[in-house]
Amino acid sequence: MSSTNVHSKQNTAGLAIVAGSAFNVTDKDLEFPPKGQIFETVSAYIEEQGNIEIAAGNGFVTENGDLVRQDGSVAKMKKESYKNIINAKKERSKYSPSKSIETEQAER
Amino acid sequence: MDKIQGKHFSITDPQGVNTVIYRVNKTDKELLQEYPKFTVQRLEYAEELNGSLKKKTFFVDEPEKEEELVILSFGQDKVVVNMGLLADDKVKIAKRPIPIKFDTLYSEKETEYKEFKYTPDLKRPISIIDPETTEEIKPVLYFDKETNEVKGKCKLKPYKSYFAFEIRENKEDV
Repeated sequence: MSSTNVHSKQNTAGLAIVAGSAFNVTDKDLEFPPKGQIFETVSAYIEEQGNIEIAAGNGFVTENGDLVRQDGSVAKMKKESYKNIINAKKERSKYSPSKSIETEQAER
Repeated sequence: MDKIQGKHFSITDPQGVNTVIYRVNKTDKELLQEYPKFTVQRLEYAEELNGSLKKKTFFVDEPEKEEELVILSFGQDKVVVNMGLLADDKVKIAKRPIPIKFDTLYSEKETEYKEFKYTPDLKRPISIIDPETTEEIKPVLYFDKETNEVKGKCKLKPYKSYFAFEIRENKEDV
C-alpha cells in the first residue's frame, strides 16, 4: 500500500495529524495496514492548501433533539442526539477536566 | 428544559455522498500518561431535504476558541478526507481534500458478518467506519478468563472494505 506524506512548511511538531486508510478484513485477526495516507490538520494544512469559509451560527440543542438556531428556526436531530452530546461531553471532561471546570464556571 | 449551547454550521451532500464530521479533542498535559493525546468525537447533526440533496447542520457543543474538525465524505467507491477549523463564526475547510479509494466496497460474494479478534489499544484510539452506512464499528470488550486479559472482538464482513482513521501527534520537526 502506498502512503502520501504532505509536509507543512511551518513547524508542526506536536500538532494533530489525521492518518486514515481503507482496509479489507481477511480471515486473520483484524490488522490495520501499517501505513496510510497521512496529512496534517489545523492551520498548517488548511492555511497552506487554501480554504473556503462557511458561516457558523450560535444555537442550542434541547432534550427533544431540537437544534434551535439564533434566528429561532428549528432543525430536527435524531432522538438520541441530546443524550449522545451529553455522553460525549462527559467523555471530553475525562480528558480535559480543566476545560470542563472553566465551562461550568462560565455557565454560572 | 435543559439545553446545550454551541455552534452549528451546514453543508449539503451531493447525491450518493454521505458526510460525517469528527471533532478532535486534545488531552490535558497532566493526563497524558494515562490517556492518548488526541481523541475524536462524532458530531451530531440535523438533516433536511433540499430537493434531492441533503442539507446537514452539524452541532459543536461548547466549542473552544478553535476546534479542529475531520470531515469524511463517503461516496460510491471512495472516501474524501478533509480538515476544517471552527473559529469564531466560521468554519474554514481546506480546498484540497484527499480521496482514499476502496478496493471492494460491495462484494459479489454473499458474506455474513464474522467476529474478528481486535483488542483496541486505549492509548491509540482508532475509529472504524462502514463506508456503506457510515456507522462506526465499535469493538466489544470481554474478559478472557484463560489468559486473564481484557480482549476485544469486532463484527465485520470479510472481503468488504472499511475505513479506519486515527489522530496522531506529529513527532517530526519541520
